[in-house]
Amino acid sequence: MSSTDPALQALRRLTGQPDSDFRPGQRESISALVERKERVLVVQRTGWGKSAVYFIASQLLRQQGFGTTLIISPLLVLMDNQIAAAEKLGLRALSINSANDVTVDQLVSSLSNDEVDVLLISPERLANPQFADRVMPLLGRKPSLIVIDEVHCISDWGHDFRPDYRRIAQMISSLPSGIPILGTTATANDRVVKDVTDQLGAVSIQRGPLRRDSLALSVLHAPTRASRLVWIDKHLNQLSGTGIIYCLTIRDAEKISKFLRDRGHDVGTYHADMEPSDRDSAVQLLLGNRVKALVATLALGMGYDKPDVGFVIHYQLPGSVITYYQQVGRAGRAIARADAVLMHGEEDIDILDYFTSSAFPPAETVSAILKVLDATKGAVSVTELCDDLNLRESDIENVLKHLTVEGAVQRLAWKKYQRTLSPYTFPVDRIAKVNQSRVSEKQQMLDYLATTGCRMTFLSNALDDADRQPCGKCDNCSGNMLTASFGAQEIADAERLLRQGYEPIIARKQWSNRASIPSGERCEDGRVLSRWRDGGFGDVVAHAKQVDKRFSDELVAAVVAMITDWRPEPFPSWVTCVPASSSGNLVHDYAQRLATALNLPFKPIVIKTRAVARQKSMNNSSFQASNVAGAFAISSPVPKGSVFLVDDLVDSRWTMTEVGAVLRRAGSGPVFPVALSLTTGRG
Amino acid sequence: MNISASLATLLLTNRIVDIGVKPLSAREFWSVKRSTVDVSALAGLNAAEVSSRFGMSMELADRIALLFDAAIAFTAAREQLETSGIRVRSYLDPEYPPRLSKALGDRSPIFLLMAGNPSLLESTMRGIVGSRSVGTASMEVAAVAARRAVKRGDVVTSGLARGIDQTAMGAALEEDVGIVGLPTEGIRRITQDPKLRQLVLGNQICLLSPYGPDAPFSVGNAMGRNKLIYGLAESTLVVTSDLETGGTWSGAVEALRGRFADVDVWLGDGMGDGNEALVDKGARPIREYDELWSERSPEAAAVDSDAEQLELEI
Repeated sequence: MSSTDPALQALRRLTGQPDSDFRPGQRESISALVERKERVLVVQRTGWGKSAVYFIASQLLRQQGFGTTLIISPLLVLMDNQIAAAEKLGLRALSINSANDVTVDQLVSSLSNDEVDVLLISPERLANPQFADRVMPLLGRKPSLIVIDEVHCISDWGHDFRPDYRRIAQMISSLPSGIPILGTTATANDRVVKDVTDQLGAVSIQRGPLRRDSLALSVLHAPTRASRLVWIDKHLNQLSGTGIIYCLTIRDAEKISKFLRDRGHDVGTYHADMEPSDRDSAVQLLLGNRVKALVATLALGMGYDKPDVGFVIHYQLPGSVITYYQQVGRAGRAIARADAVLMHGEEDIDILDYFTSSAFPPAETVSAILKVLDATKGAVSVTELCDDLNLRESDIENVLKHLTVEGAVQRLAWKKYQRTLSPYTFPVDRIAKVNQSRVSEKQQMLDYLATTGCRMTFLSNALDDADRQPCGKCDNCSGNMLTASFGAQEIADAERLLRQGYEPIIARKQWSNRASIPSGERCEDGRVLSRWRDGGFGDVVAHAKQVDKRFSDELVAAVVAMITDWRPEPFPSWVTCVPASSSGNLVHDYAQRLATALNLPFKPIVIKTRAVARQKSMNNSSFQASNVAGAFAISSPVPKGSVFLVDDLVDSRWTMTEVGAVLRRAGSGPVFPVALSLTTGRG
Repeated sequence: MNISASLATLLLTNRIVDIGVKPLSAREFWSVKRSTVDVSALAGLNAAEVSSRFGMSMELADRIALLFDAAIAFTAAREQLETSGIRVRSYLDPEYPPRLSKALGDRSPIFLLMAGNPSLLESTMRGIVGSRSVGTASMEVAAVAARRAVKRGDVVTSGLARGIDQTAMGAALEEDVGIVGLPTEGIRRITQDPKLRQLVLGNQICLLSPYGPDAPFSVGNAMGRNKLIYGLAESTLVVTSDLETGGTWSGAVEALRGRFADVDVWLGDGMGDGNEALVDKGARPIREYDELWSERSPEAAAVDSDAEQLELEI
């Protein structure tokens, strides 16, 4: 049956089905946007079809002579199926992000020739100087549809308030009427809906049920990482279809993946520290059901569109019930039943608290950086700030991001920032309010864990969803509670696998002034046994350093095993160590025992020529390098042959670089650094 | 499109983002305003409608339609400026200094970029202008004039140039009061200087500019902003002027000829070569410090529409 409604015709072209019809709310949304040019808020669960709404609206508006639709979304890339969908309607869709090859020049050219119908950008892109100065003037030449995805992020009552969204809200509120605007979200309770409606000036709201009846929710109390890993190992194959295993940190994502693969499971990994192309591949593996599960951090978030996710396992607690719902709500769309298992580990709360406390930079840091910016004529680069201030580069960048969003600082070009004319005060009240929200969200999450009533009802209440009926499927409704009691051997095996996490220490090739280190003075690549507090040896090392004040024989044995596995060439004929710092004799004593275990002579011939502050207190490369530059010398003749250079912790690698160079200049063979724990990098 | 008159005005005269269409000049804008009364009525119409309904050339109508079309580009650029502390205001906005419209009429800028403390515009302002390269005697006059203005509770207003401007402004700041500055360069450009930036952040200055935020120095802009000083101020003192040449001279002559300002000129130690000639043009001579900022007698008042009427009738 054909139709004269152009919107319906477009829907049928989109789906490829001649008898498709709109879901409740879709046609109304399209009318409001296309015919009345209104502002619409859509609160509907994933899978309802918001992209159908904005693609069809785009096509109809373009026919009316409107400009390029702008979609603002935290999604990195337009999913392939979205681009294909757009193409079915004859729409040319493009996304610009740091991962793809589209350059600003190309985008400017395409826009000038009116060759782009839909453009997808991330919220941060609006503040990018190239985008603001060159793209926006072109993009905004004509009225067009603006789509704000995950629009709940503009509400600071929400679980996921993002400062970049605040500027979007400000811009939207200054726009005249007559420009159609669509905000979409799948997770918003009444308070958030009201806030978003107010900020957007939304004229109509399309709100549907967020509850997903196919979900079977359960909870597993399993404090140790080992017990959770064993549970997953034992149950993964019993879960139907393919799914996702969420965790909080990149380290955990790597460890879980390695563990499961060692146990013969086919899993992919997804986190922010991967190359974008690797991340894309991981998502493709999931979509194509070529892995049983994807182990992912929050970075996966909204980055995929899969109607048949069979299960979602949470290895650690997410920060809020709504985030939890957002992550499990993507499961069980087109299938009858999907399992959601939430685990609570002993480390969760600490990790969540750490995220909360590092969400805003500390006031003193902000103050120090602002002081430099205030005193500078024109702009300052991040490098200059690193040289001036003993702060980590990433911390400096975080502060600059915060200041940019607050309007106190403007980004001018790549990594150059200038103080604006907008007064700034540290947002004490706002931070307190956000922190308070985090505390209550965390409590609500614990309440969910503890509830004895229907879990789905609990989530429906949190979302102010209309339907609050008991689901009959969750562990509380059905009475099938999950347990995690396993044999000591199974747990011990898991713990051992958890500990095997040694990594290379990549030798530095340049001094801090970027001059090349001559190859005859460089270290070789070394090995480090663990990461600080990684749940494996990293915990043992931390305990030894801080409590025992001695590195155990167990650690010595682990390092010997690591070296045996590593087999560096030419294999060292002697052992030395970095001279004592504030940790006293720990390293010397341990290095001696290590040398004995390796059957090699121990020659502690490296001495300090001057006092060196704790490297740990040097926060960026510039400071770390200068702290140790010229601080070491050799006290006796250097044996020939290659050497193991032993230290307990490695962070910036400047100490090893300095000592290695000194050894080489004095006639030593190749220097192989060996450390117990790596303290740098993300958590 | 439902749009405020103020936003419509800003879209038509937009100087903050280049959308490939020439914005309306002041003259064009006032002409359009006369035919439409409320320019927001033009928003959302296509060029043909604009042309036929309001009797404009297609070329102008085209530009108007395209300027309104670019609401998103303009709003994005404006949001960026406002977030960074630079406000964009049309003459219809409450923050726009009413004294300026009153004094300059059709010649007042249709929009202003503003930064810093707007409440300074609510006080009586006193302009102090002069040359860039001056001797100590002239600077002394500027400083005294500034202090005397401050003592009366008035706000010193000047052009931020070297020489007289900066001397006057510096003297006022030393008294711990705020000043109003009209730079020739764009506000964002000129506030790269940390000292000026700090004055803005400390609410000790209000900067006003009818130019784009990054506009470079130009002689035209320098002259153009002079009339704003005269228009804002209750009265303006010319400390030093060259004869028949230079920005100070042209600014003073323009104000006198246009009759939109009370112009005083210093005739004591440190005066410029052109000061006496300005008296012939109608400026009131000031010979003693005690005469500074004194009330004018009714006949001497230049800004008076009745007076202008009288002239015409005669």
